[in-house]
Amino acid sequence: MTHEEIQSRISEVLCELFELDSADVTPEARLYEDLDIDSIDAVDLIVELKTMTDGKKIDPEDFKSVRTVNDVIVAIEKLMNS
Amino acid sequence: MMAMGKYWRIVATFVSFLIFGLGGLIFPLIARPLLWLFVRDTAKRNRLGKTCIHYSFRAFVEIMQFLGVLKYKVSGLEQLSTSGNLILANHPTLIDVVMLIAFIKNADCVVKSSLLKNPATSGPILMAGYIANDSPLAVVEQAAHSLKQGNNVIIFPEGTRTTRNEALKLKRGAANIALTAQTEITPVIIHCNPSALSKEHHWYEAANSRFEISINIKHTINIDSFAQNERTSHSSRQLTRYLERYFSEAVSEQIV
Repeated sequence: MTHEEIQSRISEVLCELFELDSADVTPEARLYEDLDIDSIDAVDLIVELKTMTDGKKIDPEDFKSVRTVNDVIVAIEKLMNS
Repeated sequence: MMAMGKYWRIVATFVSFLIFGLGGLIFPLIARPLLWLFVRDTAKRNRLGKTCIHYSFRAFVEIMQFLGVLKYKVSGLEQLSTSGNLILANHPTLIDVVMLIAFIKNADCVVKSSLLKNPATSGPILMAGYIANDSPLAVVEQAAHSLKQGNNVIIFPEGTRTTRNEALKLKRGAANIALTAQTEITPVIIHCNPSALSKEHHWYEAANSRFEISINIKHTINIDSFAQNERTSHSSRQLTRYLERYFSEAVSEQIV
């Protein structure tokens, strides 16, 4: 998957899971402050993202340092290439 | 005469704070080791601790009423005849949780973890085994577990005291607990007239007049229709929106 594909897929997942408008899901958008995604939502998100990475799951501990949409993209790219 | 009443209430309010602070510090210092010594089973000890706090808070509320600081009115307690209720309340004053614990048996509650650092509150919290709100995920798990054990879990879904004249906004934690535990919600509407011990007032302003605090335990809200969603992230959002509407309406109704 290219960077753009990953980005658009993550955006789709976020919109579908958390009732967001795709226009709001920019790479700079902060999950908690801007998109109202809390730590309980993060669990759902991690499970959903697993389908993108052949079952490889982001460590919830690592996810704690994730602040923005772009952080999610970077974490997924890292996992896909690992 | 009016002025005399006010000076008396300043003293009485201060004395109430003092009783709470010193009581919260000293009582657990004596009671906790005794409980620990005589009740070896942790679950039993926590339950007994909760009962001790329930009755001492009740005594404290009666003292405040006797001193003329407040007047209380509680209705709908019969709604809590069963055990394991999830109680969600609005949060107008500093003493809401004290009032609720004073009148509700086997109450468990989610408290700010910073209260564990306060010597006046850490003793009672540890004695009763209340849930500290360190991690949202852990809170959901612990609250659901506590409900299963038959405790009445009290949560202020706003997460902080209500700011007057601002739209009521709820955190999603309470909805997540209800959905995880698959339990009905018992809403409680607290009203304080005139407004006192709120975020906007200094403590001594409570002394301007005797305030009346009413606690109204409402009919339960069934959450089955919300739990049918495939995704919990959708269920919890829908339920939170529903509760926001419910509390906004119930709180404004009571003011009229």
